[in-house]
Amino acid sequence: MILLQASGSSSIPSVLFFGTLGMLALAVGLVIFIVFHQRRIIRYQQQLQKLEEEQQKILLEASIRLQEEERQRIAADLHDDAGPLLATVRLYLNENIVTLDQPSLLQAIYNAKQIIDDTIQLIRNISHSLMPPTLKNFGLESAVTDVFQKINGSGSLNASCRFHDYRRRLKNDEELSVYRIIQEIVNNILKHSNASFIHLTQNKTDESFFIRIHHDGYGLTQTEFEKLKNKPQGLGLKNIQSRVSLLKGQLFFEKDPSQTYYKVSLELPSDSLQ
Amino acid sequence: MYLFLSLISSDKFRKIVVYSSILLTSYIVINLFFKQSTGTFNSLNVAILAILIIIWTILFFYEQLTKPADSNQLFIYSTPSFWIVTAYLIYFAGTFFLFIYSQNKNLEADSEFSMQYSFINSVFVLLKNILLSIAMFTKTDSKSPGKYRTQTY
Repeated sequence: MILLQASGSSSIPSVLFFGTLGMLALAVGLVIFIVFHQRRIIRYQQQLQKLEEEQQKILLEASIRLQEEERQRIAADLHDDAGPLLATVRLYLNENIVTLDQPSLLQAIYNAKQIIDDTIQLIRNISHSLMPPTLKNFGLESAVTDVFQKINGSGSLNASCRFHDYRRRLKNDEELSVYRIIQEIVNNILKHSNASFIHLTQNKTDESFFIRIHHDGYGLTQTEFEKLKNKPQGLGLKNIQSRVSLLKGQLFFEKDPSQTYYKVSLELPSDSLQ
Repeated sequence: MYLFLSLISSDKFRKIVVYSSILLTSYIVINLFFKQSTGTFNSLNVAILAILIIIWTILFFYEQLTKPADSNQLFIYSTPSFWIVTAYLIYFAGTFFLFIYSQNKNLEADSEFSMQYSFINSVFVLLKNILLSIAMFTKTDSKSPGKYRTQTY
């Protein structure tokens, strides 16, 4: 109407009028659509980012909690086991030792030596639980084989492992992380799955390093893993996830198509290798 | 063309802009020497240009919507490029029918249509200039200071 009035006595042809108006409406509609759609995309991305940050926070908290629990355990071991043992040694050596007759003196020294040996063994055990010497000296393959042999030795289930190509070792820190992940997974299988066998295989391609663990008990699928790791009580799974993220790897929980066993696959980029 | 080449980053879309510009230029040259009748306003060239600008604008918007997520991504209307592109889109969309309609009309002879033409064109030029001035007052993205300031449109 404005256009019609502004053009004075002459009226704008309706084709031109409605065509112009239509094109203008289309252009404005397009711009409005773009603006709103982009706003929606940005909001969605922000939400995703927030969720990711929350996930990271949960993982960080879990790793801090794990560290604290580990410290408490070491403190308790030292305080409850090593402390009394050393205090007993002190008693043996302090109790008027010079005034004792020869046999009693020898007996006291022998007892003290026994307790010191126990203390050494205890401290060695604590140290081994922090950093297994086999892993440090001989690598992941030996350390994992050692763990599996111990499990096998218990006679409760059949455990075996096979490393197909481990000529190039993982970097030290990453080897320890992978070892901890395997330890946690195996521990979970022993505790919860009621499996009769566990089999671990290692393999590698040009791009990736793989660890696969099969067992025939009750296991987790990826959906269950995703659900459990976000629950406050799933500390072990959170630790696994946090270590896998640190290694820039991927972890898959799946059930075999034959439905007879569960499989856990850990995939790391090959640049983790030395 | 330069405006869109500087705003669009996808190689595929840039190629589309370059090739379509070359085609348009070739058409205009051929039209100028062999087809165009003298004394009439041959607005078909401008109408084709308007279609091309609208297509380039859609390519620009499409690229903006599909570009990878960036944590510091700004809302599209807070960038000067959005207002500049919108200004041209509105102008060329609004005047498209005018150009089509006025094809081969002698504006000097048909004074009534000439007035209508000037009026509609002026309205959209005004609208375009308002949007361009908004673009000038919109602050540029802090991550690329001076990216737009150094360019002249």
